[in-house]
Amino acid sequence: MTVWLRRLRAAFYSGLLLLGLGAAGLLIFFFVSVRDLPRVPEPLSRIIETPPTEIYAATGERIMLIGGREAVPLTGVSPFFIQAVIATEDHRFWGHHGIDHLRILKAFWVNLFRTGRVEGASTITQQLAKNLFFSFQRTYLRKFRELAVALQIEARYNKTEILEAYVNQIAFGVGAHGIEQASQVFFGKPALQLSLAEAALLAGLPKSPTRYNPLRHFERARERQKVVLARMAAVGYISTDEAETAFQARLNLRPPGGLQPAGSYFLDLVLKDLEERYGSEVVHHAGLKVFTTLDPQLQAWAAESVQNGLTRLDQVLRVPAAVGGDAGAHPQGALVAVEAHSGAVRALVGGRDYAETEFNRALQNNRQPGSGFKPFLYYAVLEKGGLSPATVVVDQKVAIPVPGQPAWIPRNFSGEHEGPMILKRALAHSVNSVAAQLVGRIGPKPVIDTARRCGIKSPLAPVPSVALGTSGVSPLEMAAAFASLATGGIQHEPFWIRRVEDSSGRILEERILSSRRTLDAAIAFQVVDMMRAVVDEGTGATVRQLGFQLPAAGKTGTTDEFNDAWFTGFTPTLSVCVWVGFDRGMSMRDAQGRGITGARGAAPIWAEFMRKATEGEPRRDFAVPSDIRFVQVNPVNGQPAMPWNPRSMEVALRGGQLKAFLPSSDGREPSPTGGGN
Amino acid sequence: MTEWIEPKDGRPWAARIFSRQGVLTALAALAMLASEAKLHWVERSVGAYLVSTNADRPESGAIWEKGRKAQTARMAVDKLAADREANQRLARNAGTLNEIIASLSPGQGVMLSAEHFRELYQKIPQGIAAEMISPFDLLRFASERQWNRVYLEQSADGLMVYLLAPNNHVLRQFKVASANLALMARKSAMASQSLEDLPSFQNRIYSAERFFAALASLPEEDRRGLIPQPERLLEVSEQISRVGISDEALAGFIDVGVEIRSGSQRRVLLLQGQDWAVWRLRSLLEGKTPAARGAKTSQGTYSAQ
Repeated sequence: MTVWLRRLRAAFYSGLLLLGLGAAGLLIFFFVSVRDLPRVPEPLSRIIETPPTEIYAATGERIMLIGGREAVPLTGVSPFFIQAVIATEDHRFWGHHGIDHLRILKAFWVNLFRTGRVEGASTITQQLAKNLFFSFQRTYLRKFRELAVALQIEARYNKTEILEAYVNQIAFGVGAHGIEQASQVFFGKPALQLSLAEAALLAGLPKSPTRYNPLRHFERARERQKVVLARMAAVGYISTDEAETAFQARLNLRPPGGLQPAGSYFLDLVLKDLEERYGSEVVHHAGLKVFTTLDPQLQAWAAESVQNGLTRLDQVLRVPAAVGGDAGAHPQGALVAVEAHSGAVRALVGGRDYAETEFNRALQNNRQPGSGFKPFLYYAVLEKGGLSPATVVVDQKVAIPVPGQPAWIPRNFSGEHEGPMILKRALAHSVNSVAAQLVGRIGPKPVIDTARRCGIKSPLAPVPSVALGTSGVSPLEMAAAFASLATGGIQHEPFWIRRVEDSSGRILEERILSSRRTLDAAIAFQVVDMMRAVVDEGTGATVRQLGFQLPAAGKTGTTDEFNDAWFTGFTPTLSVCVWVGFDRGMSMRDAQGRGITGARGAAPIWAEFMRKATEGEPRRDFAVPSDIRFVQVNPVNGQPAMPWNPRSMEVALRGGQLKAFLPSSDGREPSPTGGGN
Repeated sequence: MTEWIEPKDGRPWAARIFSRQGVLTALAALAMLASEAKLHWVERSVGAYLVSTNADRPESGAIWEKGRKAQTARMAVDKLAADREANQRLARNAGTLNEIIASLSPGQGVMLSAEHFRELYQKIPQGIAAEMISPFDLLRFASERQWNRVYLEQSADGLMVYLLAPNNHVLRQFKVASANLALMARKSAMASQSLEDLPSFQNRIYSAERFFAALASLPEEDRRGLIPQPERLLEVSEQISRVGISDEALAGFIDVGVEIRSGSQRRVLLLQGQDWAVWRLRSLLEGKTPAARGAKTSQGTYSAQ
């Protein structure tokens, strides 16, 4: 026997032995590994029985679904979508029995001989098995078990049942699971009404829901849509002309008021609150019905106003357009709108883009409000200091002694001093030296006490500068606190959840809209009247210049180095706070080095939002308490003035304060100075 | 039996391989492969086997885990809802405010209809009721048709009562202090007791004859002040044996305990008389002129001594 023949013989026997051992090993491996395969639920539709937690807006619209599935039968899904999914994911779906032999061979060939390319061969049934039972860990054992479960599913259920289960559980991103939910989230319509173009767009998402998210990466999603349409044409479901026409069709993504994507600052707030109360498991798996205070239209306007304002700010600050997703490189913004007479949060924007950064600046930001805090000082001064809005004070350079520390020398924003003026004018023009003198007169404690009575909960340092807003607060706190002034001193806790029900409609909790009077109505009105001057003729006059003409009061705020710009203002019904600034606390200056103030950065956003939010509303004035009288005074010396005097200023005075404006019995001139300096 | 002989060179090997037997074996193998490609019998067999063992396999994997979480979550929510419903049911069927208060833990609350609250309010001892909220205020809210429901919430130091408009806006809120709640609870327990069992009455217990004789000698206004609703006593069919006057006054009212005997059973019916009228009667009973109005105690009640 020749050597080669002996070798051939040895190879033959070895091969035979290996084949036998391999077959035996495979059988043993099969029986061992399938013993603890997961049980497949029967019926398969059981996988989509979990009720979702539904979140509703105040208008009754459902704005979010968490967990659960919005299951629809295949007859409730557009045939275009079914064709698109089959063409893209598994075009031999109707013919195979869980495994696509040809595709496996092709994938084997590609993966083996085409370096750098990886091709999968998972059928729709295998994907279903993977999604239902397995992790996304890439191991051969996991693949084998997934294959085995797929074979069982194919043996037990018909193709329609399999496809129905599949389309009802695929993840489309932004919290949408299942085609019905995805169709509602992205197009605001039922899955049955999806057009070819829309169906192709959605069918392309499961490959990488984040990468192809059309709400964030529209062009990428369009490219993927093109691939799907090409596959549909290649498989023969549509002609190439139809594919081209569909590709050119206009896509109307998510109309306003439709389901919100999972990531939004307001919903994040609601979810965190619910999780604190009920636990994460209950929120995500128990199918709660949550009725919130959100007004979707106001929310849309709030988001739009913040976006527009920040885009303008980008231009003014010359921030480069492409900052590589670095949230800190752009100025950020926040807006909170609170219903004054209940504390209900009607709109909340916590930043430029939730997908970029989930940090909710409307709540979690503790930034200095600057002069935005002065209304609390002025209330405290009117209440404790015995002054009136007509009291004359002197705008001059001052040094406020601080025990154990160097004297505090506040500077005016303009760097100049105007001399004597009445309190109302000092607040309208946000004169720091006057504010410093006032806090020097009454101390910081009454200021802090007033802020607390209005609902400010953040830590406030008991130092004189607290009156000029050197302790951090959030926009939500500011909006709610100013609402206490808007209501004439009645404080409501801000809230965002009205009622929570279980899946069968049993009430678990409902909000009681309680309130308490924390401020004196007449003094609160005097402060509101002074804040009206801020908007009408003071630092917040931008609001009027931008076209918002309804009765309103407010206060600008700007911190040192222009790190923060605020505007908090209110009408008798709605209190709104806007903040803009960099997350890293950088200075905001334009090309000429001029800083961005509250009037320049935040007030335009406020004005744009309020114009839209109050469009068509009747003119409503602030309620005037019975013991308030209006008097025209000279804003410099506080002396009574004739209404037609162009320099006169109207002040709101309480009963006792009027005496100073009436001729005294001894014939002396009235003196409204009230002891002010 | 055929003896196995190993060929010594390649030719017999080839002859064997390409023999009819060898070709048939190869064809059979090919046929199996082709039938598998066409009929998927391997997949079907494996699938059928797995279907047959499905019931014995564990409920593991993402979907089962999610199902378990959902079940646990639903049970938790069911309990919350059931507890709330039980409280609501109890509140709906409650005959007195005390029954509701007793069923609530701190932080828990129940919603009542305005009508039901008014019924319960009428059963609260007058002194406590007047301290909670004036009946005239309730009448005003009722007439304005704004008042829709009442929310009662137990807190650590008392009971918060919220009168609500239909949109859950609070029309009026007030707190019933723990001391008053305790007093109400004590009073509701008096029904099955005798006057000696009630410490506040122990100093002033009079026979019914003596009490009503003294009462009859007072002017009509005083009598009305002392027993504003005499019809409650007229409704009693059993014998009124004794009457006690409490040592404590609350919000201008003093309790008058009327002991009713039925065989060996005794019970006390409580009435709230206005303090000035009670003092007048007490002076008559004790043969003195009316005493000083008393001093406030730490519990917020007034000692008539």
